[in-house]
Amino acid sequence: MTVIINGDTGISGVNGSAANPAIKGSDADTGIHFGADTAAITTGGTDKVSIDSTGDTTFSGTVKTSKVENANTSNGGLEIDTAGHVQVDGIQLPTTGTLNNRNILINGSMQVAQRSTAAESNAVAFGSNTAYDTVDRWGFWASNPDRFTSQQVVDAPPGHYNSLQITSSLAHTFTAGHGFTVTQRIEQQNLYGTGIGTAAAQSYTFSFWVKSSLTGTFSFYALNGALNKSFVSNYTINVADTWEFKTISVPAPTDALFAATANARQMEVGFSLGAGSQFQTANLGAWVTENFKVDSTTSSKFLETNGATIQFTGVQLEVGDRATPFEYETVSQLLAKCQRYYQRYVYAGGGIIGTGLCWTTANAIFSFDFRNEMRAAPTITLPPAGNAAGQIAYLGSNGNFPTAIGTHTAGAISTINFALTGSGYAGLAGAGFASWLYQGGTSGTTIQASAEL
Amino acid sequence: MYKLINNSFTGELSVIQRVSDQSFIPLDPDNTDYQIYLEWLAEGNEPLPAD
Repeated sequence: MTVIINGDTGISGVNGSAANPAIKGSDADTGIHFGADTAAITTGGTDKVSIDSTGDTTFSGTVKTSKVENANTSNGGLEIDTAGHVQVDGIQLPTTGTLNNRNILINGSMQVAQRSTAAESNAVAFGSNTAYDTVDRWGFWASNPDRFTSQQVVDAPPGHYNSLQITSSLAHTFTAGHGFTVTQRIEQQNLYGTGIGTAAAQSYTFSFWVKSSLTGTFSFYALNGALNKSFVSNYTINVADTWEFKTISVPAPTDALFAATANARQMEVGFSLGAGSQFQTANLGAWVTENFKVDSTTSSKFLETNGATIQFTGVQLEVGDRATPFEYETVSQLLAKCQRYYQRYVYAGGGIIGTGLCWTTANAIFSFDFRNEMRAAPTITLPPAGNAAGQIAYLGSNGNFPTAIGTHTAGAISTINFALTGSGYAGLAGAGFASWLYQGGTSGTTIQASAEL
Repeated sequence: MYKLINNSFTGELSVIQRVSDQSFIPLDPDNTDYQIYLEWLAEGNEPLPAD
């Protein structure tokens, strides 16, 4: 075959092969060879890149690049960062862990609020306690009462609907032992897949939307269940009254101090609203063996400003080094998850709660079954006994209120039911007869079961 | 303040009643309200006796 070198048409005339490329350097089996409408780059006598007549390109080794996209687009496609993590059309893919149920937190969308959607003033819930006032699963730790209100509001960044809004009720003066947080406590069984407390523990990424009337630096924190292992990191709100998306990397919690029983608190995460020196640390961005730190020495105290607001939504905690899109759930999924920790039964006025059984004319009992099995045997809050609005009573055999309405007790409480016992009545139907448990008046009433962490 | 509540049938301690809101707290060590009650007991406090 003759090799033709032409000033207009270039070099031509020889196809070559993988073992003997047409164009090569000093290495005899490394170069470029050709066929009919095809070309290939070969090294060591093996094709590594080949282009066929349709334009399809085959790479036999690893393609090292940071971006792949359509020739007609300038954004989108597939991007690979320096850690090897992948985004598709700008959406971050998980770096580890499962593809579904990625959000370890419950109700990060602030959508479920069984207790109240109105503004509720905070109660004292200090030491290892947490109070729950409004949005499900999000509790409040507070050294002083009535320093802020919490409320579920319809105000959220695109892609969300609700947020949890905190409004300070006065300009609080902090002392060393004061502290206030918004927190979610996580059951150990929901962390099984993360290897927490072992050498194989995975790191977490915490992501959230925040909007505040204040700008400045504020603190995010995480704690183990025993409250003796702390992680604190600052985040910055740059513009007032504007939704901003934040991510915080949380190193793998490998410490044995994270040990817990299955249905107990193994970790909690939260936002500081301000804390005194007792609850502050200067060691940011790492797990430290320090008791109950929720704030940094360099952050602002939200509750020092009267009337300030701060809102959170789209809160997600997941394994891996990158925040993936917020995991949306249907309201039925969210509600069922929340009801493992708290259930609120709302009855209309004049409604039947259930049918009990009398064992004397003075006593009746009704087995109250929960909608979902609860984390632990819950604390039960009953309406008052009586025949007025908002009160409940067992009825006599004629369907009327009995001669005398006694008292009610929630006993034999388990994770699936409790016995609602009426005692001290007069005029119930008697042993072996049924009795309606009735809600008198027109205002309606509630029965509550709480098994929060 | 707390009050002891006995089982109507067995007469044995069944639940603890929190007087402030009349809630019934089970004797479950995993219940955080019961944990708080135990801390209260450990501080030397005494509940109201059962009826």
